[in-house]
Amino acid sequence: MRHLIAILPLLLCAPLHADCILVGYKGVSHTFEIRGLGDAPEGTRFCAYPVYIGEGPMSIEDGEHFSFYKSVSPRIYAYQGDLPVFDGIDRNHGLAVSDVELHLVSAVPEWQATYAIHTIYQFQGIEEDRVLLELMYETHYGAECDVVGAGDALLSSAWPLLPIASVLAILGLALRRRLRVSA
Amino acid sequence: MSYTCALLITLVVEALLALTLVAREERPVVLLACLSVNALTHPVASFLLARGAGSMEAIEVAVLCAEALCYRVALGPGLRRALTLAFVCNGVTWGLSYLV
Repeated sequence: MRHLIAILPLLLCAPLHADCILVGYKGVSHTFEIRGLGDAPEGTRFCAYPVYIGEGPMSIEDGEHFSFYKSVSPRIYAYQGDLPVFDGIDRNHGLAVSDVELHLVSAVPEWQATYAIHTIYQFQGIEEDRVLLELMYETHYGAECDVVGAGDALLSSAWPLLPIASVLAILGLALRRRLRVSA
Repeated sequence: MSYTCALLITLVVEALLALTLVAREERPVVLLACLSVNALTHPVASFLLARGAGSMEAIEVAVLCAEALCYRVALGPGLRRALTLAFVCNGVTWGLSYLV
């Protein structure tokens, strides 16, 4: 049930592809980052496309924060040499491309404390015509649960309790040892 | 890999390693200390890493120092034992993090 409640805001956010923010929602900034691009074969560069309506691809650097227009869902392309020119509706454009599409959250319900989101993907490699990416973390700044690993909403919402309980356990062990010594 | 999975692997591997490093009569206490210490440092380190608060190497060194200190507090005299536990356990899981 808690999982269902946790994903409800995401389902509610899904239809938000208009330019306006619906009543009861607030705008948030959502940035993305792809780590490990430096591990790609020498000379390989990366770009995201589409990023803004009517504009060409955007070059992506290792660890660089980037964002894009909320109504598009860019994929990551690998290329050599100059930034490619994209035309038509061909999905691959003759380049290796990610299966993963990036989806930007531009607004969340007003009751949520989140004011910014940062999503980190890890570059896994290039396999034939595929750029392999894996979701690492999505950090919701301002939210009660700051660190949301993929599929870990339940643990993340309770994660501050874990270190606190651990400190108590360590102090308990120390106290037990002292009591034993004094006895 | 999900965070839960990473945490569980860390707890299991470090607990097993810690148990092999100490005498039989100390194992229950060391097991509890090891689980507590890792349940403290793992979420904090993951949080710092996710926030980009430092490089993985710098955070690992900080974790190693913090765990040695916690072992020292929990297990009592024997700085060498605390350092050995922290260094060996973290060294192995650090290596595993590159393999898994």
